Amino acid sequence: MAGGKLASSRYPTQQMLITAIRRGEESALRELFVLYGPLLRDQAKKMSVPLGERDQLVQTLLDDIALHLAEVEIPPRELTSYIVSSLRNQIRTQHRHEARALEHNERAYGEYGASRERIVAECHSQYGMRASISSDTEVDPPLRSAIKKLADKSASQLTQEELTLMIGVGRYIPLRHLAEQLGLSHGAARVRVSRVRERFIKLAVQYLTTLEPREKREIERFFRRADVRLGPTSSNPNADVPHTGDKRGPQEQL
Amino acid sequence: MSYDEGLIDELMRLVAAEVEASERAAGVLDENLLAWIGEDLRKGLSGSERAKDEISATAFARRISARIAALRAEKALPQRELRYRAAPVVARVSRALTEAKDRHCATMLDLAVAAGVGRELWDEPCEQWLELPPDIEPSERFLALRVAGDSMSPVLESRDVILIELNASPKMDDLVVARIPDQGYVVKRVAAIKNGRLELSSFNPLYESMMIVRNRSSILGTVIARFKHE
Repeated sequence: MAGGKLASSRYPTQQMLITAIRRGEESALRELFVLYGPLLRDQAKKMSVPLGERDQLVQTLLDDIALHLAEVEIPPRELTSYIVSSLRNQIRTQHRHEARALEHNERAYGEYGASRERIVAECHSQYGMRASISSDTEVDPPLRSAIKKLADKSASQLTQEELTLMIGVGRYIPLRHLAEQLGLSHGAARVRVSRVRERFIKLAVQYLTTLEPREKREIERFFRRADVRLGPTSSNPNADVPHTGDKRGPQEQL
Repeated sequence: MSYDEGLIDELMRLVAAEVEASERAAGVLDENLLAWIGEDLRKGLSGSERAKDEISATAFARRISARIAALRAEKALPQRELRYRAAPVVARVSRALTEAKDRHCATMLDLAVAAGVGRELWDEPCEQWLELPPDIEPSERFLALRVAGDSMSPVLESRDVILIELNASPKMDDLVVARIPDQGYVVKRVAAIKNGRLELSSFNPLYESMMIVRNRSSILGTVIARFKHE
Protein backbone atom coordinates (compact mmCIF):
# COMPACT_ATOMS: atom_id res chain seq x y z
CA MET A 1 0.00 0.00 0.00
CA ALA A 2 1.04 3.56 -0.56
CA GLY A 3 2.43 4.95 2.64
CA GLY A 4 4.57 7.91 1.58
CA LYS A 5 4.17 11.19 3.42
CA LEU A 6 2.31 14.04 1.79
CA ALA A 7 2.59 17.76 2.31
CA SER A 8 -1.09 17.89 3.18
CA SER A 9 -2.54 18.63 6.60
CA ARG A 10 -5.78 16.83 5.82
CA TYR A 11 -4.24 13.73 4.27
CA PRO A 12 -0.79 13.32 5.83
CA THR A 13 -0.08 10.03 4.02
CA GLN A 14 -0.61 8.83 0.47
CA GLN A 15 -2.67 5.94 1.77
CA MET A 16 -5.12 8.29 3.46
CA LEU A 17 -5.41 10.35 0.29
CA ILE A 18 -6.01 7.27 -1.88
CA THR A 19 -8.62 5.87 0.53
CA ALA A 20 -10.50 9.17 0.45
CA ILE A 21 -10.28 9.32 -3.36
CA ARG A 22 -11.71 5.81 -3.54
CA ARG A 23 -14.66 7.06 -1.51
CA GLY A 24 -15.05 9.86 -4.04
CA GLU A 25 -14.44 12.63 -1.49
CA GLU A 26 -14.27 15.99 -3.22
CA SER A 27 -11.75 17.35 -0.73
CA ALA A 28 -9.33 14.49 -1.50
CA LEU A 29 -9.70 15.00 -5.23
CA ARG A 30 -9.06 18.70 -4.76
CA GLU A 31 -5.95 17.87 -2.80
CA LEU A 32 -4.76 15.49 -5.52
CA PHE A 33 -4.99 18.28 -8.08
CA VAL A 34 -3.34 20.92 -5.88
CA LEU A 35 -0.53 18.58 -4.79
CA TYR A 36 0.37 17.19 -8.18
CA GLY A 37 -0.68 19.86 -10.69
CA PRO A 38 2.50 22.00 -10.45
CA LEU A 39 4.81 18.97 -10.51
CA LEU A 40 3.09 17.49 -13.57
CA ARG A 41 3.11 20.80 -15.45
CA ASP A 42 6.81 21.11 -14.69
CA GLN A 43 7.49 17.58 -15.93
CA ALA A 44 5.51 18.30 -19.09
CA LYS A 45 7.61 21.42 -19.61
CA LYS A 46 10.81 19.44 -19.13
CA MET A 47 9.58 17.01 -21.77
CA SER A 48 9.00 19.83 -24.27
CA VAL A 49 5.20 19.90 -24.19
CA PRO A 50 4.14 23.33 -25.51
CA LEU A 51 2.84 25.77 -22.87
CA GLY A 52 -0.65 25.91 -24.37
CA GLU A 53 -1.09 22.12 -24.11
CA ARG A 54 0.23 21.52 -20.60
CA ASP A 55 -2.88 22.36 -18.55
CA GLN A 56 -5.12 20.16 -20.66
CA LEU A 57 -2.65 17.30 -20.63
CA VAL A 58 -2.30 17.42 -16.85
CA GLN A 59 -6.03 17.69 -16.32
CA THR A 60 -6.78 14.70 -18.56
CA LEU A 61 -4.10 12.66 -16.86
CA LEU A 62 -5.37 13.48 -13.36
CA ASP A 63 -8.91 12.56 -14.50
CA ASP A 64 -7.66 9.14 -15.58
CA ILE A 65 -5.52 8.65 -12.47
CA ALA A 66 -8.35 9.53 -10.08
CA LEU A 67 -10.80 7.20 -11.84
CA HIS A 68 -8.18 4.47 -11.92
CA LEU A 69 -7.46 4.86 -8.20
CA ALA A 70 -11.18 4.66 -7.49
CA GLU A 71 -11.54 1.39 -9.34
CA VAL A 72 -8.29 -0.51 -9.00
CA GLU A 73 -8.03 -3.28 -6.38
CA ILE A 74 -4.44 -2.62 -5.37
CA PRO A 75 -3.38 1.02 -5.47
CA PRO A 76 0.19 1.98 -6.45
CA ARG A 77 2.80 1.77 -3.70
CA GLU A 78 4.36 5.10 -4.58
CA LEU A 79 1.76 7.54 -5.78
CA THR A 80 4.05 10.39 -6.87
CA SER A 81 6.31 8.14 -8.95
CA TYR A 82 3.26 6.43 -10.39
CA ILE A 83 1.62 9.69 -11.46
CA VAL A 84 4.81 11.15 -12.90
CA SER A 85 5.63 7.92 -14.78
CA SER A 86 2.12 7.89 -16.24
CA LEU A 87 2.57 11.43 -17.51
CA ARG A 88 6.00 10.71 -18.95
CA ASN A 89 4.76 7.57 -20.71
CA GLN A 90 1.84 9.47 -22.16
CA ILE A 91 4.07 12.25 -23.45
CA ARG A 92 6.55 9.74 -24.89
CA THR A 93 3.74 7.93 -26.71
CA GLN A 94 2.49 11.25 -28.05
CA HIS A 95 5.99 12.18 -29.23
CA ARG A 96 6.35 8.81 -30.95
CA HIS A 97 3.04 9.27 -32.76
CA GLU A 98 4.05 12.74 -33.88
CA ALA A 99 7.44 11.48 -35.07
CA ARG A 100 5.75 8.65 -36.96
CA ALA A 101 3.31 11.06 -38.60
CA LEU A 102 6.15 13.37 -39.57
CA GLU A 103 8.14 10.48 -41.00
CA HIS A 104 5.09 9.34 -42.94
CA ASN A 105 4.67 12.83 -44.42
CA GLU A 106 8.33 13.10 -45.28
CA ARG A 107 8.20 9.76 -47.07
CA ALA A 108 5.20 10.90 -49.04
CA TYR A 109 7.22 13.88 -50.33
CA GLY A 110 9.97 11.61 -51.58
CA GLU A 111 7.82 8.94 -53.21
CA TYR A 112 7.07 9.39 -56.87
CA GLY A 113 3.81 8.05 -58.18
CA ALA A 114 2.39 7.86 -61.66
CA SER A 115 0.60 11.18 -61.47
CA ARG A 116 2.28 14.29 -62.94
CA GLU A 117 0.51 16.47 -60.40
CA ARG A 118 2.46 14.82 -57.63
CA ILE A 119 5.77 15.76 -59.19
CA VAL A 120 4.65 19.36 -59.52
CA ALA A 121 3.53 19.35 -55.89
CA GLU A 122 6.81 17.84 -54.79
CA CYS A 123 8.79 20.58 -56.54
CA HIS A 124 7.06 23.19 -54.42
CA SER A 125 6.87 21.16 -51.26
CA GLN A 126 8.23 21.77 -47.82
CA TYR A 127 10.67 18.97 -48.59
CA GLY A 128 11.98 20.84 -51.60
CA MET A 129 12.35 24.03 -49.65
CA ARG A 130 14.19 22.28 -46.87
CA ALA A 131 16.43 20.40 -49.25
CA SER A 132 17.68 23.72 -50.63
CA ILE A 133 18.81 24.87 -47.18
CA SER A 134 22.24 23.88 -45.88
CA SER A 135 22.17 20.65 -43.91
CA ASP A 136 24.02 22.35 -41.05
CA THR A 137 20.89 24.17 -39.96
CA GLU A 138 19.21 20.92 -39.01
CA VAL A 139 22.03 19.62 -36.83
CA ASP A 140 21.60 20.00 -33.06
CA PRO A 141 23.76 22.76 -31.67
CA PRO A 142 26.94 21.11 -30.38
CA LEU A 143 26.45 22.27 -26.80
CA ARG A 144 23.03 20.65 -26.65
CA SER A 145 24.25 17.29 -27.86
CA ALA A 146 27.27 17.47 -25.54
CA ILE A 147 24.95 18.16 -22.60
CA LYS A 148 22.80 15.20 -23.59
CA LYS A 149 25.80 12.92 -23.53
CA LEU A 150 26.98 14.32 -20.20
CA ALA A 151 23.48 13.79 -18.80
CA ASP A 152 23.59 10.15 -19.85
CA LYS A 153 26.95 9.68 -18.20
CA SER A 154 25.88 11.51 -15.05
CA ALA A 155 22.73 9.41 -14.72
CA SER A 156 24.73 6.22 -14.92
CA GLN A 157 27.84 7.23 -12.96
CA LEU A 158 26.66 9.47 -10.13
CA THR A 159 25.00 8.11 -7.01
CA GLN A 160 21.36 8.82 -6.19
CA GLU A 161 22.40 11.38 -3.59
CA GLU A 162 24.76 13.10 -6.01
CA LEU A 163 22.04 13.27 -8.64
CA THR A 164 19.58 14.59 -6.07
CA LEU A 165 22.03 17.34 -5.20
CA MET A 166 22.71 18.09 -8.84
CA ILE A 167 19.00 18.35 -9.60
CA GLY A 168 18.55 20.47 -6.50
CA VAL A 169 21.29 22.85 -7.65
CA GLY A 170 19.74 22.79 -11.12
CA ARG A 171 16.41 23.87 -9.68
CA TYR A 172 17.92 26.64 -7.55
CA ILE A 173 16.66 24.94 -4.41
CA PRO A 174 18.07 26.67 -1.31
CA LEU A 175 20.83 24.81 0.48
CA ARG A 176 18.81 24.51 3.71
CA HIS A 177 16.03 22.69 1.79
CA LEU A 178 18.59 20.38 0.23
CA ALA A 179 19.96 19.69 3.69
CA GLU A 180 16.46 18.92 5.01
CA GLN A 181 15.72 16.58 2.14
CA LEU A 182 18.92 14.63 2.70
CA GLY A 183 18.72 14.78 6.48
CA LEU A 184 21.98 16.70 6.78
CA SER A 185 23.15 19.81 8.56
CA HIS A 186 23.55 22.97 6.53
CA GLY A 187 27.34 22.68 6.70
CA ALA A 188 27.34 19.03 5.65
CA ALA A 189 25.06 19.80 2.71
CA ARG A 190 27.42 22.59 1.63
CA VAL A 191 30.32 20.15 1.66
CA ARG A 192 28.32 17.55 -0.31
CA VAL A 193 27.34 20.11 -2.96
CA SER A 194 30.96 21.05 -3.25
CA ARG A 195 31.91 17.40 -3.72
CA VAL A 196 29.26 16.95 -6.35
CA ARG A 197 30.77 19.82 -8.33
CA GLU A 198 34.16 18.16 -8.14
CA ARG A 199 32.69 14.79 -9.14
CA PHE A 200 30.82 16.41 -11.97
CA ILE A 201 33.90 18.19 -13.28
CA LYS A 202 35.89 14.96 -13.06
CA LEU A 203 33.20 13.07 -14.89
CA ALA A 204 32.86 15.72 -17.59
CA VAL A 205 36.62 15.88 -18.13
CA GLN A 206 36.82 12.11 -18.27
CA TYR A 207 34.23 11.99 -21.01
CA LEU A 208 35.50 14.97 -22.98
CA THR A 209 37.48 12.63 -25.20
CA THR A 210 34.36 10.72 -26.18
CA LEU A 211 32.65 13.86 -27.49
CA GLU A 212 32.66 15.08 -31.07
CA PRO A 213 35.26 17.83 -31.63
CA ARG A 214 32.58 20.53 -31.85
CA GLU A 215 30.88 19.30 -28.66
CA LYS A 216 34.21 19.01 -26.92
CA ARG A 217 35.10 22.59 -27.82
CA GLU A 218 31.87 23.86 -26.25
CA ILE A 219 32.48 22.06 -22.94
CA GLU A 220 36.12 23.10 -22.90
CA ARG A 221 35.04 26.70 -23.39
CA PHE A 222 32.73 26.37 -20.39
CA PHE A 223 35.53 25.02 -18.26
CA ARG A 224 37.96 27.69 -19.41
CA ARG A 225 35.49 30.40 -18.41
CA ALA A 226 35.01 28.67 -15.04
CA ASP A 227 38.77 28.62 -14.59
CA VAL A 228 38.99 24.84 -14.60
CA ARG A 229 42.37 24.27 -16.21
CA LEU A 230 42.13 21.15 -18.29
CA GLY A 231 45.80 20.84 -19.21
CA PRO A 232 46.60 17.63 -21.04
CA THR A 233 43.66 15.77 -19.50
CA SER A 234 41.15 16.61 -22.17
CA SER A 235 43.10 14.63 -24.70
CA ASN A 236 44.14 11.90 -22.28
CA PRO A 237 41.26 9.70 -21.16
CA ASN A 238 43.33 8.09 -18.41
CA ALA A 239 44.18 11.33 -16.69
CA ASP A 240 40.90 12.28 -15.08
CA VAL A 241 41.91 14.91 -12.56
CA PRO A 242 41.43 18.44 -13.84
CA HIS A 243 43.66 21.33 -12.81
CA THR A 244 42.06 24.44 -11.50
CA GLY A 245 43.22 28.01 -11.46
CA ASP A 246 43.79 30.28 -8.48
CA LYS A 247 40.78 32.46 -8.89
CA ARG A 248 38.30 32.06 -6.01
CA GLY A 249 34.74 31.36 -7.00
CA PRO A 250 31.83 33.56 -5.91
CA GLN A 251 30.14 33.03 -2.58
CA GLU A 252 27.95 29.97 -2.14
CA GLN A 253 25.08 30.53 -4.52
CA LEU A 254 22.55 28.26 -2.87
CA MET B 1 40.22 23.08 -6.15
CA SER B 2 39.07 26.59 -6.82
CA TYR B 3 37.06 27.60 -9.83
CA ASP B 4 34.06 29.66 -10.70
CA GLU B 5 31.34 27.68 -8.92
CA GLY B 6 28.61 29.74 -10.52
CA LEU B 7 29.63 28.68 -14.01
CA ILE B 8 30.03 25.04 -13.02
CA ASP B 9 26.60 25.20 -11.42
CA GLU B 10 25.29 26.64 -14.69
CA LEU B 11 26.63 23.64 -16.59
CA MET B 12 25.27 21.28 -13.94
CA ARG B 13 21.90 22.97 -14.31
CA LEU B 14 21.83 22.24 -18.03
CA VAL B 15 22.91 18.64 -17.45
CA ALA B 16 20.45 18.13 -14.56
CA ALA B 17 17.58 19.43 -16.72
CA GLU B 18 18.58 16.97 -19.42
CA VAL B 19 18.74 14.12 -16.88
CA GLU B 20 15.22 15.00 -15.75
CA ALA B 21 13.92 15.01 -19.30
CA SER B 22 15.63 11.79 -20.33
CA GLU B 23 14.22 8.27 -20.30
CA ARG B 24 16.64 7.45 -17.49
CA ALA B 25 14.86 9.89 -15.21
CA ALA B 26 12.59 7.15 -13.88
CA GLY B 27 15.56 5.63 -12.11
CA VAL B 28 16.78 8.96 -10.83
CA LEU B 29 13.59 10.73 -9.79
CA ASP B 30 12.52 8.55 -6.88
CA GLU B 31 9.43 9.05 -4.75
CA ASN B 32 11.10 11.30 -2.20
CA LEU B 33 12.85 13.47 -4.73
CA LEU B 34 9.66 13.94 -6.76
CA ALA B 35 7.63 14.77 -3.66
CA TRP B 36 10.26 17.26 -2.66
CA ILE B 37 10.39 18.88 -6.11
CA GLY B 38 6.59 19.05 -6.11
CA GLU B 39 6.54 20.79 -2.75
CA ASP B 40 9.18 23.24 -3.87
CA LEU B 41 7.18 24.03 -7.02
CA ARG B 42 4.01 24.59 -5.00
CA LYS B 43 5.84 26.96 -2.68
CA GLY B 44 7.08 28.88 -5.70
CA LEU B 45 3.63 29.49 -7.21
CA SER B 46 2.57 33.11 -7.50
CA GLY B 47 -0.71 34.29 -5.99
CA SER B 48 -2.51 34.26 -9.32
CA GLU B 49 -1.16 30.81 -10.24
CA ARG B 50 -2.30 29.49 -6.89
CA ALA B 51 -5.76 31.01 -7.34
CA LYS B 52 -6.03 29.51 -10.84
CA ASP B 53 -5.03 26.10 -9.46
CA GLU B 54 -7.65 26.36 -6.69
CA ILE B 55 -10.39 27.06 -9.22
CA SER B 56 -9.28 24.22 -11.50
CA ALA B 57 -8.97 21.88 -8.49
CA THR B 58 -12.53 22.61 -7.36
CA ALA B 59 -13.97 21.97 -10.83
CA PHE B 60 -11.86 18.81 -11.17
CA ALA B 61 -12.97 17.49 -7.76
CA ARG B 62 -16.62 18.12 -8.50
CA ARG B 63 -16.45 16.44 -11.91
CA ILE B 64 -14.48 13.39 -10.80
CA SER B 65 -16.39 12.89 -7.58
CA ALA B 66 -19.61 12.73 -9.64
CA ARG B 67 -17.97 10.34 -12.09
CA ILE B 68 -16.74 8.00 -9.33
CA ALA B 69 -20.20 7.98 -7.78
CA ALA B 70 -21.68 7.20 -11.22
CA LEU B 71 -19.28 4.28 -11.71
CA ARG B 72 -20.27 2.88 -8.33
CA ALA B 73 -23.96 3.25 -9.10
CA GLU B 74 -23.55 1.60 -12.51
CA LYS B 75 -21.95 -1.36 -10.77
CA ALA B 76 -24.54 -1.54 -7.99
CA LEU B 77 -27.49 -1.19 -10.36
CA PRO B 78 -26.71 -3.08 -13.55
CA GLN B 79 -28.78 -2.01 -16.52
CA ARG B 80 -31.73 -4.25 -17.30
CA GLU B 81 -33.93 -4.71 -20.32
CA LEU B 82 -37.08 -2.65 -20.21
CA ARG B 83 -40.31 -4.58 -20.74
CA TYR B 84 -43.66 -3.08 -20.04
CA ARG B 85 -47.29 -3.69 -20.86
CA ALA B 86 -50.51 -1.73 -20.90
CA ALA B 87 -52.34 -1.82 -17.60
CA PRO B 88 -55.47 -4.01 -17.93
CA VAL B 89 -57.44 -1.36 -16.07
CA VAL B 90 -56.48 2.30 -15.81
CA ALA B 91 -56.51 3.04 -12.11
CA ARG B 92 -54.84 5.35 -9.61
CA VAL B 93 -51.42 4.22 -8.42
CA SER B 94 -52.71 3.59 -4.91
CA ARG B 95 -55.26 1.14 -6.27
CA ALA B 96 -53.07 -0.56 -8.87
CA LEU B 97 -50.12 -1.60 -6.67
CA THR B 98 -51.60 -4.90 -5.48
CA GLU B 99 -53.01 -5.92 -8.82
CA ALA B 100 -49.70 -5.23 -10.59
CA LYS B 101 -47.85 -7.28 -7.98
CA ASP B 102 -50.13 -10.27 -8.57
CA ARG B 103 -49.13 -10.23 -12.24
CA HIS B 104 -45.38 -9.95 -11.55
CA CYS B 105 -45.39 -6.27 -12.51
CA ALA B 106 -45.00 -2.84 -10.95
CA THR B 107 -47.16 0.16 -11.77
CA MET B 108 -45.33 2.70 -13.89
CA LEU B 109 -45.54 6.50 -13.95
CA ASP B 110 -43.70 9.34 -15.63
CA LEU B 111 -41.52 11.12 -13.10
CA ALA B 112 -42.04 14.31 -15.10
CA VAL B 113 -45.79 14.01 -14.51
CA ALA B 114 -45.28 13.10 -10.89
CA ALA B 115 -42.91 16.02 -10.49
CA GLY B 116 -45.69 18.54 -11.03
CA VAL B 117 -45.81 20.79 -8.01
CA GLY B 118 -48.79 20.23 -5.77
CA ARG B 119 -49.81 16.95 -7.40
CA GLU B 120 -50.19 13.85 -5.35
CA LEU B 121 -48.42 10.84 -6.81
CA TRP B 122 -50.95 8.37 -5.49
CA ASP B 123 -53.77 10.08 -7.39
CA GLU B 124 -52.09 9.77 -10.79
CA PRO B 125 -53.80 7.38 -13.21
CA CYS B 126 -51.56 4.47 -14.13
CA GLU B 127 -51.73 3.26 -17.74
CA GLN B 128 -48.61 1.11 -17.95
CA TRP B 129 -46.98 -1.58 -15.90
CA LEU B 130 -43.34 -2.59 -15.80
CA GLU B 131 -42.78 -6.33 -16.20
CA LEU B 132 -40.45 -7.37 -13.43
CA PRO B 133 -37.45 -9.54 -14.30
CA PRO B 134 -37.70 -13.11 -12.94
CA ASP B 135 -35.06 -12.49 -10.26
CA ILE B 136 -37.06 -9.69 -8.65
CA GLU B 137 -39.74 -10.89 -6.29
CA PRO B 138 -42.86 -8.72 -6.81
CA SER B 139 -44.03 -6.54 -3.96
CA GLU B 140 -46.78 -4.03 -3.24
CA ARG B 141 -44.02 -1.69 -2.21
CA PHE B 142 -42.64 -1.45 -5.77
CA LEU B 143 -43.28 1.47 -8.07
CA ALA B 144 -41.68 2.13 -11.48
CA LEU B 145 -40.92 5.68 -12.60
CA ARG B 146 -39.87 6.95 -15.99
CA VAL B 147 -36.98 9.40 -15.55
CA ALA B 148 -37.03 12.91 -17.03
CA GLY B 149 -34.06 15.27 -17.37
CA ASP B 150 -30.30 14.85 -17.49
CA SER B 151 -29.29 15.52 -13.89
CA MET B 152 -28.47 11.84 -13.31
CA SER B 153 -26.67 11.29 -16.61
CA PRO B 154 -24.73 9.07 -17.39
CA VAL B 155 -26.34 6.53 -15.04
CA LEU B 156 -29.92 7.52 -15.81
CA GLU B 157 -30.89 9.13 -19.07
CA SER B 158 -34.22 10.69 -19.90
CA ARG B 159 -36.91 8.02 -20.45
CA ASP B 160 -34.99 5.29 -18.58
CA VAL B 161 -37.14 3.55 -16.00
CA ILE B 162 -36.27 3.01 -12.33
CA LEU B 163 -37.87 0.59 -9.93
CA ILE B 164 -38.16 1.97 -6.42
CA GLU B 165 -38.99 0.33 -3.14
CA LEU B 166 -41.37 2.60 -1.27
CA ASN B 167 -40.52 3.80 2.22
CA ALA B 168 -37.13 2.14 2.30
CA SER B 169 -34.45 3.65 4.55
CA PRO B 170 -31.80 5.15 2.32
CA LYS B 171 -28.10 4.64 3.02
CA MET B 172 -25.05 6.48 1.73
CA ASP B 173 -24.69 6.24 -2.06
CA ASP B 174 -28.26 4.94 -2.53
CA LEU B 175 -30.30 6.47 -5.32
CA VAL B 176 -33.55 7.82 -3.90
CA VAL B 177 -36.68 9.52 -5.14
CA ALA B 178 -37.23 12.52 -2.91
CA ARG B 179 -40.01 15.04 -2.66
CA ILE B 180 -38.60 18.55 -2.84
CA PRO B 181 -40.79 21.54 -2.01
CA ASP B 182 -41.42 23.59 -5.19
CA GLN B 183 -39.83 20.92 -7.40
CA GLY B 184 -41.95 17.84 -6.84
CA TYR B 185 -40.26 14.44 -7.09
CA VAL B 186 -36.61 14.08 -8.08
CA VAL B 187 -34.23 11.16 -8.29
CA LYS B 188 -30.84 11.83 -6.63
CA ARG B 189 -27.93 10.11 -4.94
CA VAL B 190 -27.45 10.24 -1.17
CA ALA B 191 -24.05 11.95 -0.93
CA ALA B 192 -24.02 12.46 2.84
CA ILE B 193 -26.15 11.87 5.92
CA LYS B 194 -25.59 14.45 8.65
CA ASN B 195 -27.65 15.29 11.73
CA GLY B 196 -30.90 13.93 10.39
CA ARG B 197 -30.43 15.62 7.04
CA LEU B 198 -29.56 14.13 3.67
CA GLU B 199 -27.30 15.71 1.09
CA LEU B 200 -28.63 14.76 -2.33
CA SER B 201 -26.41 15.11 -5.36
CA SER B 202 -26.62 14.52 -9.11
CA PHE B 203 -24.24 12.56 -11.31
CA ASN B 204 -24.19 15.45 -13.74
CA PRO B 205 -21.72 17.93 -12.18
CA LEU B 206 -23.64 20.85 -13.69
CA TYR B 207 -26.33 20.38 -11.06
CA GLU B 208 -25.88 21.62 -7.49
CA SER B 209 -26.46 19.28 -4.57
CA MET B 210 -29.30 19.92 -2.11
CA MET B 211 -30.03 19.25 1.56
CA ILE B 212 -33.33 17.81 2.78
CA VAL B 213 -34.66 16.64 6.12
CA ARG B 214 -34.62 12.88 6.43
CA ASN B 215 -38.16 11.70 7.11
CA ARG B 216 -40.92 9.61 5.58
CA SER B 217 -42.55 12.48 3.76
CA SER B 218 -39.37 13.68 2.05
CA ILE B 219 -38.18 10.29 0.75
CA LEU B 220 -40.56 8.36 -1.47
CA GLY B 221 -38.31 5.32 -1.83
CA THR B 222 -34.96 3.83 -2.84
CA VAL B 223 -34.02 2.78 -6.38
CA ILE B 224 -33.44 -1.00 -6.58
CA ALA B 225 -33.16 -1.49 -10.35
CA ARG B 226 -32.80 0.53 -13.53
CA PHE B 227 -34.06 -0.27 -17.01
CA LYS B 228 -32.72 1.20 -20.23
CA HIS B 229 -35.31 2.81 -22.47
CA GLU B 230 -35.67 1.33 -25.96
